[in-house]
Amino acid sequence: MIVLAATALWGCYEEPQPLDKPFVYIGDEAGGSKADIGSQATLTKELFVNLSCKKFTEPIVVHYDVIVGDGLKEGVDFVIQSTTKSPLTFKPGTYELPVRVQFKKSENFDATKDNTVTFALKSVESNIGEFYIGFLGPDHLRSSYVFTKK
Amino acid sequence: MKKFLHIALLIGAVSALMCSCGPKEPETDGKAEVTSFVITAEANPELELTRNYGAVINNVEGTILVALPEGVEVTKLVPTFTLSQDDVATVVDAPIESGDWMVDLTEPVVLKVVDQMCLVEKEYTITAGTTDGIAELSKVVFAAADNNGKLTADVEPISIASTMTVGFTGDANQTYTLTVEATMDDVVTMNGELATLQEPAAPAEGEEAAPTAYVWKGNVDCSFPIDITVTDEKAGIETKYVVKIVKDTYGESWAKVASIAELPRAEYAMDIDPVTGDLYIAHTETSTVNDVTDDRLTVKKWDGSKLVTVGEPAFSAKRATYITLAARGGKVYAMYTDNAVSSKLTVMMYDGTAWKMIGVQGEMDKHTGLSKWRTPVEVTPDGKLFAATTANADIADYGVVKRGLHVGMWDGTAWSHVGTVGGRDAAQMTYLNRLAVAGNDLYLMCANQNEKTTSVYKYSAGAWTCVVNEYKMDPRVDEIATYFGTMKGFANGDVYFALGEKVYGSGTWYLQLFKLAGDKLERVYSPIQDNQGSDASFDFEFDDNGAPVLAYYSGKTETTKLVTIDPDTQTWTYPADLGEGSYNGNPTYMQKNTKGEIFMTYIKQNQKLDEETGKTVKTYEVVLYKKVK
Repeated sequence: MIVLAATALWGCYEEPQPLDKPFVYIGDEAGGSKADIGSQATLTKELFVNLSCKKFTEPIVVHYDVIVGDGLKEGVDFVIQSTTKSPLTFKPGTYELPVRVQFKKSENFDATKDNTVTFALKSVESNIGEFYIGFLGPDHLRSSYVFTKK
Repeated sequence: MKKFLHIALLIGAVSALMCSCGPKEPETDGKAEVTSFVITAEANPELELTRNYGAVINNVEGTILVALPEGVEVTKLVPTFTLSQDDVATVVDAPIESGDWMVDLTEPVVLKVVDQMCLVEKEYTITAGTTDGIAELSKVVFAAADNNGKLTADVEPISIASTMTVGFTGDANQTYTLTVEATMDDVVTMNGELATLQEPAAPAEGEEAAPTAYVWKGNVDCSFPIDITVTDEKAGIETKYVVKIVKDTYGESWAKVASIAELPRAEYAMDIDPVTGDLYIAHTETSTVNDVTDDRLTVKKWDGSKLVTVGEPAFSAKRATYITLAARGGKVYAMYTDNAVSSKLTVMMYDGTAWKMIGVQGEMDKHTGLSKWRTPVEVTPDGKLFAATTANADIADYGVVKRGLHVGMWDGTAWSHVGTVGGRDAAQMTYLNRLAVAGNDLYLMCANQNEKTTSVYKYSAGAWTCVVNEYKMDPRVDEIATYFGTMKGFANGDVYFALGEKVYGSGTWYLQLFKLAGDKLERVYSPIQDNQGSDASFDFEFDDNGAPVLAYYSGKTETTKLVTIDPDTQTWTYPADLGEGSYNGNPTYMQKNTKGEIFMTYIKQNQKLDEETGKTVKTYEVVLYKKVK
C-alpha cells in the first residue's frame, strides 16, 4: 500500500521550472546606473534599454518615465532626442535601443536644489509574457538611470 | 477494519494517479503559420549558393517571397521550412515535408498550412524574385553643395562602419542634409524618417548611362547621433548604422602664416635652432648661373612675420636634392646632393655672414658611403655635426657596407667615420635613420628592414652604446614604415618617437607615439588609425600643457591632418583636416622654438599652365603653419 501510494505521488511530481522570466533593463555603455554631469558641460550621453527574452515575432513596446528634479528643466538643461523618447518600440530582432540625452549649460544652476534626471523603466507591452523591470531580484537593479548635474 | 483501510488507501492512490497525472487536455497554439522558409546551400547543392537565403514571410498578406541572386535557377528549389505547432503543409492537397519537396517557382505556388488540433488554416502564395542579398551603405557624406554655406567642404567619416564619426568645424546643433549610397532594393530611413531616393542623372548626349547608384538624401538634426537603417525586404536583411557628430575645432588652433610657392621641386627641409629659436626652411628655386639653368638650393628664415632669404640665394653649384637641415647656436648646416659633383653629398654652413663649404664635396661619402636618401643631420651642444647614412655601395677601405648604417662626424676640421654603432653588424640593412639630441647626448634611431624592428643607440663621451636592441613594436607587425618616422629629444633627456606600423592581415597602418623607457619603446596613448600608408610623413611636438600634437599625411584624403589629446577624454581628438592637398613623399615637420611657439611645414602640390609649352605642369609650395591657440 505504502509503495503504491508513494508511486502515485512520485508520478505526479513535476520538475521545478528554471528561472526564465523575460526582463528589461537600462544602463550606459559601461553598464553603470548613474553619472554626474558638469553643470556647465555641453555633451550628449547615451543610455541603452535592453530586452532579455526569447526570440519574439511581434513588436515589444517599453515605456519609461523621465523624473526631473526641481533644479532642472527639460528643454532648458537637457534635451532628449525625439526618436528615443518613450515609448521605445523593439521590432523583432532588436534587443537594444538607445536613449540619447543632450545636456546643455545650466545658466542658473542652483546646487541646493534637486539637480537629478532619472530615467525609470515603467512597463512593457508584449505578447510573450510579462516582463520584469530591471534585473531579476528584489532590488530591481538596472531598472533606472540617474544623471546628477553638479 | 484493517481490510477496509487497505481498500481505502488503494482507492485513494489510484484516484490520485488518475486525477493528478491522468491525460491532460491537449494544448493548441491556435494558429497555422509558416514560421521560417529558407533556401539553404546544403539542400540545394546544384545552385552553388554561397550562403542560405531566408524568404520574407508576410503572415498578414499570406505571402512568401524567395529572393535569390540574379541568374540562380528557380525551377528546382528544395526549401527548408518550419511550421507552428501541430501544423501540416500541403500543395494542391498533397502533403509536403521540409527538405523533401522540390518546387518550381517560375510561377507562383500556393501552399496551405492546417493546424490539426484546432483546424485553423492559412494559405501562402510563394513567389521568387532576385536580390543582391545585401543591405548596406557604400557612402556617407554631408556634401557642401547640399548644405548652403554651412559646410566649406564635404564631410565624410574615415570609413563606413556600424558606428561612424564625422567632425564638423561649424555648428553641429542644426539640421544638415545627409547623403548616403545604398544598394539594390534597399530602403533607407534616417532617424526613423524615410529618406528620399534620388533620380539618377541623365547621361550627356552620346554618353552611356552610368551604372545605377542608389543615392538617398535626408535632412537630419545633427545635435544628436543619426540613426540610419537600411532595409532590403527582398533579401530580408536590415542593417543599422549610427553617425556621431563631433566638433572638429582643433584646426582652428592653427593658422597658415607663410608659404613659398611655385617651387620647381618638392624637395625641402625645416629646422628650428634650439639655442636662438630661429626657424629655417631650405628649398630649391630655379636660377640661371653662367648660362646654366637649374634648381638650386636657397635657405630662408622666419623673421616673425615673413620668410627672408639667408645669405646668397640659389647657392648650390647645380641641382640640389635630398635636402636636410640642422641649426644650432646661430650656425645653419644644409646637407644635400649636388649634381655638379655627380650628386655627391655636400654640406654648406651659414655662419651669419655667408654660406661656406664644410670640408671637401664628397669627402664624407668616403667615410660613410653616399646615401641616395635624405641624410639626417644633427648638431650636438659641443658643436659637432653628425650625419647618419644608409650607404648605397660598399667601400671596403672604410668598412662601409651597402645598406648598412654609418655615421659621419664633422669635428670642425675634418670628417670621420664614427666607429661601429653600438656593436651593430654593419651589414644589417637599415633605413629611416634619425638623429636627436636629448640632454647632452646624441641618439640615433634606425629601422631594421629585414627584421621589422627598431634599434636605438646613444653616443656619449665619444662612444656608442645600444639602448634598444631590435625592438618589435607589436608581435603581429608585418611591416614598419620604411622612410618616415620621427625621433625627438628634449632638454630633460626624454626621447620620443612617432612610428608607423602595419599589423599582419589588417592592411591598415597605425601611427603610434612612443617614449624611450629603459631598453624599450613604451606606447604613449592609443594608436592613431587613418590609413597613412607606409610612406606617409608625420612629426610631433608637445604643447604648453604637455599634450602631444601630431601632424600627419593622410593617404585617404591626401591632406595633412592634426591631432592632439583631448584633456577630458585623454584620447586623440578627431583629426582636423587642414583641407589643403598635401604631397606625399616629402617630410612633414613640426617643431617648437625657444618661445614655446609650435610651427609645422609640409609640401603642397599645385598645378599651373606653362605659357611656353602650353602644358600643365606641377609646382610645389611649402606651407608654414603656426599654432595660434
